[in-house]
Amino acid sequence: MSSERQCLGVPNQCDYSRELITRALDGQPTLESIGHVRVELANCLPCVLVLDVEVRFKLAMSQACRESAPAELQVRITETLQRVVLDDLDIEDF
Amino acid sequence: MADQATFAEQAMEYMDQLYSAARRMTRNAADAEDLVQETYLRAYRGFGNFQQGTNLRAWLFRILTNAFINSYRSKQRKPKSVDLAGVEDLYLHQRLGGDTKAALGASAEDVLMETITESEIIDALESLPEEYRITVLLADVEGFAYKEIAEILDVPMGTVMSRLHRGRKTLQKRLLEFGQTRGWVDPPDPDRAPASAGI
Repeated sequence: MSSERQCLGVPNQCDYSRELITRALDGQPTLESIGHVRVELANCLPCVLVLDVEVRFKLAMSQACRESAPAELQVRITETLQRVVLDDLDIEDF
Repeated sequence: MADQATFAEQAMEYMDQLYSAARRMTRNAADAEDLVQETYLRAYRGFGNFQQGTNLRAWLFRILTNAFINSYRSKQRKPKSVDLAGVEDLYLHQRLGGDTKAALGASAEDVLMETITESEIIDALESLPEEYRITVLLADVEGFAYKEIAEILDVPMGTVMSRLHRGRKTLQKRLLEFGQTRGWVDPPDPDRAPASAGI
């Protein structure tokens, strides 16, 4: 029913906008996928604002939590894997 | 079937991602290194059964997560399961109100998000209960889709979405608390009834 798919203009009480915003955040959003949801929410400024903040929040999380593995760890694992191959060691021994 | 001889050349490129996730899971650099090493050894052992052409990255994250839950974590005191069902269903923009919003103009959310430090975001994430922390990590940091996360964690997709929703709201609440200490965010209104947290 179309009445179930209308935005109520109250983001945290609107299943329609919440579903759209959730869809926009799924996986790795692209400008295109976010833009598509923005168009669908175009008549509801509060919902667009929620979408933008949630996207920014997701990006901030992603950027803050990225870390490179220590070089020593990379060397250690590479050498261990080579040793496993060369010596046919039982991995359970590790 | 995958050729075990090609394991290193295919799997090593994901080490930074696996290490980042391990850091947030274990909250400790030394334990994260051990967990990543264990993950690679388990993956190497099982690589013969990996179906080439399927998602190697998701497969490695499933091994990492299982290693953390079943092996590494068993060495620690098992945390109690925490239900965040009662968390207030707030949205950041709703609490940037009144004089604060007027003073900061239309970019109030930008100011808040840009001023929160990376260490505050990490602290907030690491303060989440384990099942919520891992779910948010896989979704918002690693960019896995809900279906992939459900497979990695071996839980229904509805559980993933529920944990993600509540985990995100709890994280946002933590960030709002940082904002409140700086005077950018209105304090909670005791008369405002929390909305449903369901998704």
